[in-house]
Amino acid sequence: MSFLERFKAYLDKQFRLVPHSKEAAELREAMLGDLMSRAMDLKETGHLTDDEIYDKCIESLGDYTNMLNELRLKPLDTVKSPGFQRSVLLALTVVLFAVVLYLILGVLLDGFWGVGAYTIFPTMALVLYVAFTARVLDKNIRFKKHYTTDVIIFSYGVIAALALFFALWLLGGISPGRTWVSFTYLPFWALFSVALTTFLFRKKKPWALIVPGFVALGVPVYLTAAVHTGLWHPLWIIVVVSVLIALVAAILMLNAKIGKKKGSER
Amino acid sequence: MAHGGDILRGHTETIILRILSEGDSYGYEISKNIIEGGEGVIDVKDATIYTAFKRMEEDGLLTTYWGDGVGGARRRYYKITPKGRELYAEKLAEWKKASRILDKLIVGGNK
Repeated sequence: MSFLERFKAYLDKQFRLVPHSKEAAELREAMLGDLMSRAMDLKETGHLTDDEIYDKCIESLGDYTNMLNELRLKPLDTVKSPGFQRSVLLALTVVLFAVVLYLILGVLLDGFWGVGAYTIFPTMALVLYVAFTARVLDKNIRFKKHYTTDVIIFSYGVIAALALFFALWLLGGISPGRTWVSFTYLPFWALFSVALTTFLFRKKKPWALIVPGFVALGVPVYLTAAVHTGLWHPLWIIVVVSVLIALVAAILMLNAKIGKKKGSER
Repeated sequence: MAHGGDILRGHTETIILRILSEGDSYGYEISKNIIEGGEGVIDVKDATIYTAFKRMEEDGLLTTYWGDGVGGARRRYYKITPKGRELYAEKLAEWKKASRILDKLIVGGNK
């Protein structure tokens, strides 16, 4: 790998949490130019290896974390950015569209005012929420900063549970005495949200999701089946089977991993 | 012996202005100039220089432009402004006066 590629990779890593701006891009390019000038200068002396030159160049930068932190703390720049302004305009358009649709349908359809109020506006709020949080999720994943990732994923589960509850009750005709079971999924979804964020996004070990994944799936399946059939006693086997499948899968995955490691050591 | 940081403290901008008053330059060349002039006592890091550049550019003491570099990377050059030259002249006069007084107080032998 050339010095240019190594320095670029280093700076990419250092600037990964810095939002894109003209100032940040110029500082990054100035640093790259100076690192290359220093490296070529040291190379001409002829008594250092490439790795020693690289280390010396990085050391010569000193502690510039304050400069990077300053580049991160620019709320006014965020407000001024075209991306933010476009998002605000899009949000306003969705709100305007919902209000106009409500008014038109309210005038045209008999008895729509009440139904429209609790269908159109919650849908509008849902669209805005998902659009906003999807942007935050995208940023979290790109900048590898996951303070809010599990909370957002959990909130999607809450929305899905609410939607399922009302869909089964109002559209499916199933009594709330049974459809309440949708909400019992939430603690398991919370567990899975944390596991997903930790193992997939933070640690990049998707295989570690197998156990929490099967538990988070098995228990809600058991609860749903038991509530609808009333067979609480024999159906608990679903939970046991899901845990057993999870453990077997985890053992197989670990075994494969150890085998791979052993192979690479030979 | 004093550390580089102690000697430089409060004078980094003046030193940069002096270097730029002799011709346009870029980050690495300026830090190399300071380190070589520091007789092995001063070791300035790039972060110190970049922080000073940013402040000085905001104060209108210097301007920047991009020039050719080496190995496929551009260099950011710095150019002193008339305001920068004025400030350098003031700082130089202040330094000469302070240096004369300190010399008298520390070295002594003027009675």
